[in-house]
Amino acid sequence: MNEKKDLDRLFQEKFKDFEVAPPEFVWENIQEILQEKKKRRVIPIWFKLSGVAALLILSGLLATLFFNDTDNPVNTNPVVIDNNTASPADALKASPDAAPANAAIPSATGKNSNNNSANGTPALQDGANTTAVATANDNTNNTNNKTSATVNGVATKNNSGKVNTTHPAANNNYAVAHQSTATTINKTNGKRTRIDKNLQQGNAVVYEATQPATTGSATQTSDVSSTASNNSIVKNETTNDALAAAKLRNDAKNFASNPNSTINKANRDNSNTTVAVIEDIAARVNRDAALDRNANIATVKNGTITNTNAQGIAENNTKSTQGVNPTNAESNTIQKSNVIIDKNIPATDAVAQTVTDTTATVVPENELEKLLQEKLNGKKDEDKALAENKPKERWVLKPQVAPVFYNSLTSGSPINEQFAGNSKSYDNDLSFGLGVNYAVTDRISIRSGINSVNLSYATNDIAFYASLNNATSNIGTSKTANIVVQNAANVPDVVMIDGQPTQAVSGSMLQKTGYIEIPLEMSYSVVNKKFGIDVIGGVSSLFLNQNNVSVVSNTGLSTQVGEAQNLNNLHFSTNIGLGFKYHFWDSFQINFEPMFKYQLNAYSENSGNFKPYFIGLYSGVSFSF
Amino acid sequence: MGLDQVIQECQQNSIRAQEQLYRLLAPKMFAACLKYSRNRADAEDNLQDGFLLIFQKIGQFQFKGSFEGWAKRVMINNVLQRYRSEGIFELVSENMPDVADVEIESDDISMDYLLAIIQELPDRYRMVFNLYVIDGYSHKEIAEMLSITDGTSKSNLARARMILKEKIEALQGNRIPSAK
Repeated sequence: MNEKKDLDRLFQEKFKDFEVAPPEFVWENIQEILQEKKKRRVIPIWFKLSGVAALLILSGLLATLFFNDTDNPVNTNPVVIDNNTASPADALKASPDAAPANAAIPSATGKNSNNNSANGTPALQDGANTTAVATANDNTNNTNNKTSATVNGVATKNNSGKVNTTHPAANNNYAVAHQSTATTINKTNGKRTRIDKNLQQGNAVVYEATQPATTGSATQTSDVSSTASNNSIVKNETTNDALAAAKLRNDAKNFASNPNSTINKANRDNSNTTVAVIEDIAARVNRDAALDRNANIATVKNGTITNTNAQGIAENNTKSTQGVNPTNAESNTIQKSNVIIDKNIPATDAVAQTVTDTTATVVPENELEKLLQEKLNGKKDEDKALAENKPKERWVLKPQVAPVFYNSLTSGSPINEQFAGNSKSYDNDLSFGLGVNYAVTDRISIRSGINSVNLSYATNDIAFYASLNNATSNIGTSKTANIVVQNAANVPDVVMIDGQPTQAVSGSMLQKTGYIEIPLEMSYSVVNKKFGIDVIGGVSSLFLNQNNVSVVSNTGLSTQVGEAQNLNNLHFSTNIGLGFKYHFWDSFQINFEPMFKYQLNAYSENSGNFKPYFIGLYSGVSFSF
Repeated sequence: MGLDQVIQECQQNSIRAQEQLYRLLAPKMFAACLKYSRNRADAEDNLQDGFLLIFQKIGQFQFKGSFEGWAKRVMINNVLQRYRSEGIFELVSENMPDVADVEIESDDISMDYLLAIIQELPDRYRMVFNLYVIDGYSHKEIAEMLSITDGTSKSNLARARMILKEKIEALQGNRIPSAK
């Protein structure tokens, strides 16, 4: 143990103050990369600025789009597993000599399904739409070794061309071909290959022929499956010589007569994105169905086709049909399903054999399911990642207060035309309230809230006097004694009331209005850092809650005149403004938002060309949560 | 300008501050990279990537503890990440070796030689040895960083020591005859 410490100490001491100057080019590289990043950052600002105007105009539309976008439908990945199983009982009857071949089946098919499932996944991303690739384990018995060698040679020819190159015939255990090629195989080896009639229904099928007792290398199978794009029918087929019989030849002929165009047609029909997954054979086979399916085809095989929707997305199409007696229903299903995996389990000569097969292939299935699960999980993770990118604190609550500067674009008077030319002095009032923001994205927020706002102005150079007659338009009063307000220029020095000369009082007329304002605005952050700048646009609804007109004499005496009668109880304003904010902490910031609000229909009628607006300098603190 | 201020300016992406920081830390960081990398070229690559990572993550530095320690950790993790992604960690034996009793006379062994024999170690032995012996991480921490078990870390360390010791002995063995 001593020497260990010595060794450690030696290194510790030597490396204690170990420093080495790096070559200069390292910094130059770093600088280059850093500056590139900076440059890239500059450009988008102009994009953003130019986009602001459009964003404001189309704010409503955009908001809708954003809400809809969150629910983007995920591509559906329907999977149909189609197990076509030869009946052990039939095989026993028809071909006692088929037994030796069966031992090789589990390993061959198991591997195959495994590899295909692993590599079937890329097919999901493959946008190609028409290449149908299918695999089949063509398991022949001893007597057929010769012919299966031929298969390997032939099968490298196919329609897609993609598959071809990846399969040198010399050492292929898996031969991949399209329908036409498969037909060739079947012609050559009519004795040993069975073709389901469902192939004639216009389904694209490619056979992968596998010699018995051989194991496929991962690269070969991956080549196969990577070329498998959407809409594949994968067929694992194992045959026994003894089972083939003359029936097979007929099938082969029928098959040969199918033009390739049927493949394309079938592919066109199935244009959805799919995942090709091959399930383990033994686990999925409906053995019972396979066993006593029907007697009249006992010379060939009982086929069980089980279509299962592994992901629960596609339609659940489960059925059992005879491999040699396809129905219309079957072809329909195949067209509906995006992926059909068709496996033919070879005939086995004993039940015990089947049992061993099953157990032997359990593991690949689990792995397959794992892969499937991983795929699903991966998607969830992506969704999560997306969700995490969105701002966590979407809601902002902001009490705010604003000095309000009231004014009019024109010099009219809402009370009476005679005051249109009078000078007006607009008071500075106060607005206060509570705002709520909802962040749709990092930069775009929807804003609302509730504010109380008071607006008032004075019409100068008027004279008023008490009268029994209603004399001032647009002002209603509950008082018995009316006060007549007139433009000072029109009022004679002495007004006769009931025969009594009365002095008109000169002064100013004050109109006060108060509103509850509910804004609905949208803001876009042009700068969104510790210090931020927003562009804000929207509308407000203003509910009238205060309305009075009074007069004030030059000497300071004041009296109520009444209420303006032409004020709308509800009017609207269009708002535009800038928001400046400074983040103290993540959830706390101060705001300063100068807003221009143009009132659209404050007065119902006789507004005397009065076009009021107000500017509010809203400031406050905001809390996000 | 103090280090804190330089860091703050780096957080604002000031290229001037970034250069200052680089000049300040690069020799130490390069030394670390040399220890953890297979050779000098790898070390240069790792230094570059590590600094880019430091500048990228500098906003996360909370001014708690030493910045140099933080930066070194980022740098080391970057190297570990790289070798992990290359998937070469599996290639070393996991068995605990026998410990031989050999003294090491460490007086006149050059820095270059020590660095060279460290770099020659299989990747994981090198990582474990550096992390444990030179940079003072515990086996537990190492196990987490490398996604291995404590036992594997200890075993790797023992193997690394064996190899280093053998190489130092070989050097000394060669020297003794030549000195005579």
